[in-house]
Amino acid sequence: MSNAIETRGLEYRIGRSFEIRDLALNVPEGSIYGFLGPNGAGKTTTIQLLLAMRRARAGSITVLGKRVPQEITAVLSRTGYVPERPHVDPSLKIDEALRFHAAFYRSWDDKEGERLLAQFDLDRSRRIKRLSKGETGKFLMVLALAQRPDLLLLDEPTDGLDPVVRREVMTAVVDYVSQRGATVFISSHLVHEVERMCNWIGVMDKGRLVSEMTTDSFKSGIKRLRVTGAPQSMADPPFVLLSRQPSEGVIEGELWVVRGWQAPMRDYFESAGARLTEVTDLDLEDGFVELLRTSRSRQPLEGR
Amino acid sequence: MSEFAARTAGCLSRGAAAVKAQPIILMTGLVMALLLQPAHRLESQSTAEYQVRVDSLRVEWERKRDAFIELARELGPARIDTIRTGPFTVLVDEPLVELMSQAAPIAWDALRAELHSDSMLAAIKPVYFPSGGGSRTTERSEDVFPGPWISETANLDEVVDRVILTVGAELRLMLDEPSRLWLSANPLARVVAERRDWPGAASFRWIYVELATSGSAVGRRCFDGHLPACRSALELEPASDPATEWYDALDRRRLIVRGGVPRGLGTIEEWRSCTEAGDDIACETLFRARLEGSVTHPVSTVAHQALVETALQMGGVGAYGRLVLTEAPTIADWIAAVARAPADSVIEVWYSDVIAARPDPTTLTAATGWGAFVWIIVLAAVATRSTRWRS
Amino acid sequence: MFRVILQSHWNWSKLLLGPGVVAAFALPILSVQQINEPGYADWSPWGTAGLLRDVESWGIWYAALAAGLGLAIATSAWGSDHRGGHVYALSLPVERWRYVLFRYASGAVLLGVPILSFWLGALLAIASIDLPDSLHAYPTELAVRFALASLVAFTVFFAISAGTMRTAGYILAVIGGLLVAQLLLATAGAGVDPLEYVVDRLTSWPGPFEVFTGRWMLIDV
Repeated sequence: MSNAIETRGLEYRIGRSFEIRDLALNVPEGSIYGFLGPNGAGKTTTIQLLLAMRRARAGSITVLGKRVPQEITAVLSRTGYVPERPHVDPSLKIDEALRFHAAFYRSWDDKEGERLLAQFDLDRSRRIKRLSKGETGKFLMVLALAQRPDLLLLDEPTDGLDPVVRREVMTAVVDYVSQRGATVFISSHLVHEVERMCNWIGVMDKGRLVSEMTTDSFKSGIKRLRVTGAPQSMADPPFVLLSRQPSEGVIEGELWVVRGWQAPMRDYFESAGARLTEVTDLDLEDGFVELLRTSRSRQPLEGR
Repeated sequence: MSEFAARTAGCLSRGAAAVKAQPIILMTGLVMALLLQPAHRLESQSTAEYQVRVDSLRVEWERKRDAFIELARELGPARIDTIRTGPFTVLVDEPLVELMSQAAPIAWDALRAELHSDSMLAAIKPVYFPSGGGSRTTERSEDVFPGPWISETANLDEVVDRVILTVGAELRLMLDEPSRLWLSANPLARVVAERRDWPGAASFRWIYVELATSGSAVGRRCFDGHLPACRSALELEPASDPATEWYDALDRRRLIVRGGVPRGLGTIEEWRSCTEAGDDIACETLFRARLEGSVTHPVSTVAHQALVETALQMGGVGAYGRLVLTEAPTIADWIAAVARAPADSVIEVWYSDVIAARPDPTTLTAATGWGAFVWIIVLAAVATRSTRWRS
Repeated sequence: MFRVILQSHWNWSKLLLGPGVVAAFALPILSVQQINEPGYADWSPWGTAGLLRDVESWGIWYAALAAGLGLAIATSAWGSDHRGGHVYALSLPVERWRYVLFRYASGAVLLGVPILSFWLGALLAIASIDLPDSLHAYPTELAVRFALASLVAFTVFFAISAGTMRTAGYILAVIGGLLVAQLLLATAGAGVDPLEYVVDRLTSWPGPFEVFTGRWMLIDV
């Protein structure tokens, strides 16, 4: 399977406070890739690097098989981009903005644009600055989808939108993907949203890619274990230990957060003289939080 | 041996320095050497005869020494020297001696080629040049002028520019006072082998603008090609009535308005009558009163000088000599004598030169246009190379 | 692509362009207005020379209008992009240098309107007056100079606007440095005027602003 987006050893720095180091993204073609991370993790910066809006200090970027920034024009002609903040001239009317945008894309589909406008219930004669936040979000999606891209780069497209609008927008994206087989790269800090529609997840924190795997792998393998009598160090666990800390409250023992857990692994504790008393499933959000906590405390991690 | 040679050289150099500082020492020494030449013949004479001989030589030496000292005193400060070239005699400060020695023959050749007149050549008088440059007469000859003089050194070296490059000749003022003023305080005196100093085209451009925007009716008619009007504007003959010959009613009124309220040259009522009511008679009265104080000439002395230069060029060989020597009752006659052609012919040529010298429009020159175009291209290219827009 | 960029630029600049067009048309006419006033030949104390001086005095307004139009069109060229931090422009599938050229060309096209208006105004101004025979009119030369001056101003401000904040900072730093140097040298009594030197270099040939200086003569000898 080839990658729609691939970066190797990507490095970028702004001043002294923030840097992206050794970023290795692998976004499979046709996937819906959720790019998770807290605020300030570098998600928007990464997207801007992919679009050559910023220049990396080192490393390579390949998007849709083209090198960035050398072949950026070819990349952009096949990429639909929805930024975090509206980027279109707000003084334009919707109609004018559509015509402006269409002039740059050979693949622009007028009918699809009309259909989406109707679907989102947007009036062509209205000025963009007069649109509500939700309407603006929908309009930006119209611009991106009507140009029939092979890759959609969505930077927190539903941020600040009400649930209804959010559902509308993401439904349109999913419909488009199902029709075209396009790749979607969506950055968000809304874990549940990503969980619902993405089949790949990358987690970024403080300029580094903490984890990158399928959503199923991410969700299914993370458990919270309650363990008593475990020695301080336990050799060669069959799972990935994400965190280990004393249990709070009256119940004795330790709370372990692990990934890659399977039921037969109970034997591991017994062989070490410990006792496993409880196994709890963690949802994606909890797993995400644990993953971040682990990476910040510099616990060993692994990728896919 | 080497020490002896060094000491000898040291003594010689100290001696040379002493001699240089006190030339009279050298002069005395030379004189003495000359006077004492026959001394070798003393060997064959008796002591008494030797004594007489020595006394005689001593007296002779003292007499010549005194004469030399008197001569040096007469010459003034030791730093003044004399240069002679042909009949030219020039007193020059020491710093300029060498330069002037080389320049004088060249300057003289240039003047002689220009003047072609023995009487002019014979009129040359010595001139004293102070070390600060410029020139002035010596204290003893107040009337060195009129006569040609070297105003500056000639060009000595075509390869190395030594500056100061013209040979000048002061005009002999054969004309009366008004005629001198006609030519202005700047004498038309720069006679250079190539007439290098004559402004030429620049002056004619200036005259063109002057006539095109003339504030006098006669000037405007001259610009339109009426040559008798040019003759009148150039004042080749004295105007019988400048107020009406040169100016019309509108001109007079303009000049009165421009001159402001008169001081002692008319009444306020007359002035108001002229400027506000447009009364021609009042304007003319005021104008005539003004003319008595100072004449507003139709054209400037630049135009006059240009006319003289035209006459010189038309006159060919010896024209400058005629310029300097001719005594003529009117300026028109003088011009005609210089040019060896009627004054009207000179005016015709002068007018043609003026019209041909119409200045190029300043609204848009080629340099400005192309310069702006190039900057537009360069700056537009810079914009595309901005870091934001560079891939 | 160019058409939509031109349309966008027009949207941003039309409020400024309108008055600019009117001013460009009116200035040459105003500059000779007094010549046709009754009594001008009578009361003007300087005659033809005065007429030329009056005409020359309007030069500063031509230069100012050219500079103002250039500035207005240049800032409006980037108005829509500045609002979005240039993100939209950078996300478009067109070579960036080509995009800049499109923006530049749209500005040049829009500048053509007041330039044309100026030329028409100059022609009308000359047609409406009775010139003395000794003077000549230069409406086309003046219009060409106005065009070049406007384009120089537009290009300079366009280049600055196209740059990053860092570039603008450098330019401001240079200007600030010159002013500080001027102040220090003046305080020290050094007799050196760096600002005057720089201004002189810029405004005399072959400096970029030489087209603004000198005599803007609609009428001359």
